[in-house]
Amino acid sequence: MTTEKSSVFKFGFTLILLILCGVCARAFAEEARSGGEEDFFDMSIEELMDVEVITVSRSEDALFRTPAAITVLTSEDIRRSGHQSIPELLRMVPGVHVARIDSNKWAITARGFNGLYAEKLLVLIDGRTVYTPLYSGVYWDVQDVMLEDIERIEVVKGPGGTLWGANAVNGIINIITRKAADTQGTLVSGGMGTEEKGFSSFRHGGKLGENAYYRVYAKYFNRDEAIYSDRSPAADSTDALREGFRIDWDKSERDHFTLQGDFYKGHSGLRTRMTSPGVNYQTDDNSDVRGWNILTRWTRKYSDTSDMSLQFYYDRTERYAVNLGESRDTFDIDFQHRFQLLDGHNLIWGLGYRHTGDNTDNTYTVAFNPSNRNEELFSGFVQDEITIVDDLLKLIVGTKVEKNDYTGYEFQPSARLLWTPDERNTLWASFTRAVSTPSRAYTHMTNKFNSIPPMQFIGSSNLKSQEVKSYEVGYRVKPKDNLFFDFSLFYNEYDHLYAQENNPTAFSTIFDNKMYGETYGTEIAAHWQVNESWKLAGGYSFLKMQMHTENSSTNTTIASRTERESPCNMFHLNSQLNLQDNLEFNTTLYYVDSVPHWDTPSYTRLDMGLTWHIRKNMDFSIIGQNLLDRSHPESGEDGVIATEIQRAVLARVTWEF
Amino acid sequence: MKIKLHILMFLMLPLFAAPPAVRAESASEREHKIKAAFVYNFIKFIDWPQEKTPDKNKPITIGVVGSDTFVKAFDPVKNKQVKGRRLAIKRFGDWDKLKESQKKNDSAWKEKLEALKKCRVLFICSCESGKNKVPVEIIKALKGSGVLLVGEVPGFLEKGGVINFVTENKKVRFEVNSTSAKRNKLKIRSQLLKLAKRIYKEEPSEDAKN
Repeated sequence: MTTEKSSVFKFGFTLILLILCGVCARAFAEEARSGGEEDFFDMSIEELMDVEVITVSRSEDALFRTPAAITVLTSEDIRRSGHQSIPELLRMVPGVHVARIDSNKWAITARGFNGLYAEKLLVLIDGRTVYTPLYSGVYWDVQDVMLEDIERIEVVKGPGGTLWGANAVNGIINIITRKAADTQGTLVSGGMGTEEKGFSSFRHGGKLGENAYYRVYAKYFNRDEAIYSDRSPAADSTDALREGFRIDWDKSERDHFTLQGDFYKGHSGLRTRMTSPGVNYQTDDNSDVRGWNILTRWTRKYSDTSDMSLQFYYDRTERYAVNLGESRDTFDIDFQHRFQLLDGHNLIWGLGYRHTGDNTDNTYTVAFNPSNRNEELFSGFVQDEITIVDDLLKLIVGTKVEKNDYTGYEFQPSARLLWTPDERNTLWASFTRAVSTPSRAYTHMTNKFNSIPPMQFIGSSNLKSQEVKSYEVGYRVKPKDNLFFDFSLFYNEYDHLYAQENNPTAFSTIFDNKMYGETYGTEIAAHWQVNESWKLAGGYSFLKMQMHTENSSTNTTIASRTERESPCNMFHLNSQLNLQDNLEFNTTLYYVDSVPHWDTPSYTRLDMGLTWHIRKNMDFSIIGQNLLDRSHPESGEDGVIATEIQRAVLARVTWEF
Repeated sequence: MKIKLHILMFLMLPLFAAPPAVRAESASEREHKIKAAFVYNFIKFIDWPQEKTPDKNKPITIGVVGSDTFVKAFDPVKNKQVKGRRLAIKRFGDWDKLKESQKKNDSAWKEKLEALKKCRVLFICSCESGKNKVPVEIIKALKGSGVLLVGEVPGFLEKGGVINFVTENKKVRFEVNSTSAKRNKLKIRSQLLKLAKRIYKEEPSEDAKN
């Protein structure tokens, strides 16, 4: 109860702080206006050609009219957030629960079912799927890019199986990097801090000819160990080196080619603990992670309503730790075509093929049978965007059909209705079905515990896909040009969820599909450009989960456990303030409810950052993270031992030339 | 109780800051302010045939087609002078309405057409009603009339416009149709031409077809 109270107190305290900021902002804005109003008419053409038009344009318009619960983090949001990694950035997305487990592990999900092995998200980086087919979850420690090169991160909450494919049950995270033409010149960035001990990145972009651009980059970071609740250090320090390139070639007005690749190598510290009656075993280890990928994409634009793209990638990942070793090769080819079939019918269809092969090392706790496996996935989709009333009412219907090696054919249909009465209002409603197909871990893995009597988790080859039927409505409104609200409501029905059942052959449990349930909730986002110098963005989300098990189920705890794995309320408020032309002050406040299953109390987190534009292309930032407490936990034990998130300070210099 | 508290705080948010003193300009407004300044500069670097016998008292008129939200970006031009002459702005309203009037071909349209032809420059906004569509009808109606047609949509030059704005890396660039400039007897000085992103020349056969 005391933690609750102090949390509310901190919350109030920070809000007061923000109000003060606001008052300051007004004063500064007044000053900025009187002195700093740009007069373009005094500029020469050369000078005008150097002025940036802030892009809201068509992509923002398209976003406003998307019939799904979508949030976009812009490069500006990313730069000003002070976060140093992709998983941390996702804290800014309303409805996404980011629980940091240690310095290299995160439990991340939208709309419930969180955990280290959360497996209901589809994560893509530049069109490359990065969740692992091993357990359908994401190894967040190796999902990285040069943050300065991110164009935007699109997060769709709710199922998106029709366009995107399997695993997009609760959401899609789509990380999109800038075109090489937009990252010309040299950028050097580096810094150090109490937790982010050292980080540096380098990028150089240039021209390869008349219409071709390239960039190369390298990035390195070294992150400190986290601590446990007793303040002893956790053996989880992390470092990674990453290099890559991207080439974009506009062959003609209609043909565009992209070639890009990355290589990374790192160490992710890990402490595991095995506890069962009579045994208490703990081990420190390093996951040696390594991987590389290459992707090529050809897009051809026929007209404003018609284009096609052909994409191929190869992705190799390796991860060796004391409890599990895995290497994996994935080949993927995707084709998409969009065209106008008849007046009022915009059709998009596509075909895809993925081959993934793994090689697992059996260890004393984890064994895969078979230890090597090749899997194939065939997919096709078609979607029709039907204009019922011009510029007013649209119906988007479609389905994806997939054939996988576990459950055969899967259909993932969706229907979305979009009503756009004017430029300022958008109303949408949707029904979607999506599935998460079984993965290696749930099917072929045996998890042995050194306990007396011996216990085992066993995968089951009879598993069905987990299924969701989702009903959503949403409303976006711009009451004024500088004010934006986004509301979404959802009701999800889940069926055939995985739960461990007692195995008749004693002392082991086996996976089955005997859990089902309903979830409902809301996400609200608001943006307010208070004045030229001050922008506020906020988000609130609410989630309620009701889980049940079939009568035949022997698992009596899973339903209530699953219900208690996600926070009920989350809130954040972000303030981006320009104090002067060359000084920025950014503040973000986060509130996350308690997670009862993990015994994690609610927490309030405050980040603040000051950025000084020393010269036109040189920035210096000081960032304080989690300023309100020395440390707090965000997640509980889930195979590895959860640590606490410490207060951190870091300094960063970015120089572009 | 907890939930209520947070909802309350969320709702109270707007109260914490005083109302905005200045409405933030939208990106599109800013973009058009920049473009207006470009157009103002263009006039300095382009010679019109009628300038050989200048009438110092008559202003140079810039016509703007498009909804008022965007074309008001051109308003500051009124206080400027180029080549010793005042500048004037004439708004023609939405392209859609203009097109309707043109279809009817009534006396109102004929009046409008005369007014259009009297403009030295005509900027055709593609921001709202004419979203992404080349204003072919206007271009045709003013072909060879000596009006500097400025647009902001792909394909504008190919259909006979003179200068077109494009956005590249978040910055405004322009391209020129030199054939169309010649047809309108506009002399674009080399200082301006060399800054163009692209110079488009119509194929002679295409010209003959027209």
